[in-house]
Amino acid sequence: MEHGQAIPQTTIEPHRDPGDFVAEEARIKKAKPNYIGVFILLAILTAIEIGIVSLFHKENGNSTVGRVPILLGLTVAKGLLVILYYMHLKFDSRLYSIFFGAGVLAFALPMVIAFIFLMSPPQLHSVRAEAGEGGTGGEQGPTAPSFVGPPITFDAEGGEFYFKPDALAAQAGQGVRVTLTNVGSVEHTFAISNKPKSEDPTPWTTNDGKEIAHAPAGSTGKGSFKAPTPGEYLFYCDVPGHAQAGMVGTFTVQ
Amino acid sequence: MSAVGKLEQAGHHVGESVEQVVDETHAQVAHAETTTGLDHRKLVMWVFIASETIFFAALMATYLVYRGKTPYEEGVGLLDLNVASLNTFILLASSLTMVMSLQAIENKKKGRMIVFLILTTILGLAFLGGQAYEYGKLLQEGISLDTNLFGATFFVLTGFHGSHVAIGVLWIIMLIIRALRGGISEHNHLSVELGGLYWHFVDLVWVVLFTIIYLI
Repeated sequence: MEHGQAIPQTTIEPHRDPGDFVAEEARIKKAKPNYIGVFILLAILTAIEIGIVSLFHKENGNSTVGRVPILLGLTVAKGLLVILYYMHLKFDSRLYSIFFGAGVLAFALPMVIAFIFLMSPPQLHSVRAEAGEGGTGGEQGPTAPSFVGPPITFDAEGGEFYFKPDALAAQAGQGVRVTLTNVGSVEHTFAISNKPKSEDPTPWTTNDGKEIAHAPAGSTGKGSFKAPTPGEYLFYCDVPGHAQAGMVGTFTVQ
Repeated sequence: MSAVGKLEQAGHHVGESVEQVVDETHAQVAHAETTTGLDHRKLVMWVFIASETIFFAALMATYLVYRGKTPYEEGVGLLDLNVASLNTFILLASSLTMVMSLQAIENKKKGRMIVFLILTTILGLAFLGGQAYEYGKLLQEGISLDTNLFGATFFVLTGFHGSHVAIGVLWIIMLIIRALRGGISEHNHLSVELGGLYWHFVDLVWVVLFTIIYLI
């Protein structure tokens, strides 16, 4: 009986017959989807997206909140164009849409939303605070100065036993990207003191500093940090004996 | 026996028309006689695409959850919007050429279809080239899969997408070979449609990735 029920369906609506491509194609041809037009529309929407991003710069990696819904809306519009026209869902059997829609709406979308809300809320505030902050600057917490602007780069050469250049200046809260090129024959590091020079003139003996970059002999090490509160600090190589031998530089925070 | 007989009698009309229909259906369709009235190969393709959506949603959610946990200058700040934008246009154009190839074979223009498939392959390879360039730049900056949360989530997400593009390119190359050997005709081109569905899906994923990685 089940068999009998299904077959008449194909006759009542002959265009549902999958093998009969002629009927299906006839419908698509009749609809005459303008694929080039769809592409132009997709390109324009993408150009608008890029335009929005270029016009409203990210502040230290954070989106200005208002543009997110606009960008997501444009993305959904682009996605629908691809699905409805390029993937033919607009002209095809509704059953395909149901299978795909079920996947997206019942599983994929709720999963993304659940992930974000279940995993993120406790950290949401810190996410905003940490963006643009150095990897080791987290513990500075709420007292960390906020600085809006691009990070600076500090390319230093390290050898036995010197830094070149041996002075670095940054704004409080500014991100500093360090590249240490080791031209020597033993390993060297780039570390900064936690306390100002006046409070701790030899951080390498008190061990009160942070290693930012590490470069084995003949290679390059990279790292970054966020400049602390204003003052005069030291940067040094934390390999025992190296700072004493002269691998020290001054780090001025304005 | 008599019950069956009665039923048969009662449904004689229906039965007759069913038989007629079955005959007609067999004559019309060589490969599909399904309860849904749809070709199961295409239906399975859509089910597969739905499952892929869930797969990518998990990776995207992971990326979004860890977004902002890595310092800007060690993560998102290193990305080049220009390269990503160019790649977006390349992939969108490849979707156009893919759908044009399907349209060509539907219009009985097999040569045109092969040309569009070749164009799609070239655009797919160009996209992969752009991605390789981007990966190279990030690796130069010292960001890799195990450097930080950005590296881990970015490379896993875009890596899986890139491998989908690579598989798509192989798929289309196989379609071209099949077409050249005469395996695809205007009456038998479901393979082009299925390959196209997969390719457009990969494009669709990139549309979303572009927004959540490079724009937001």
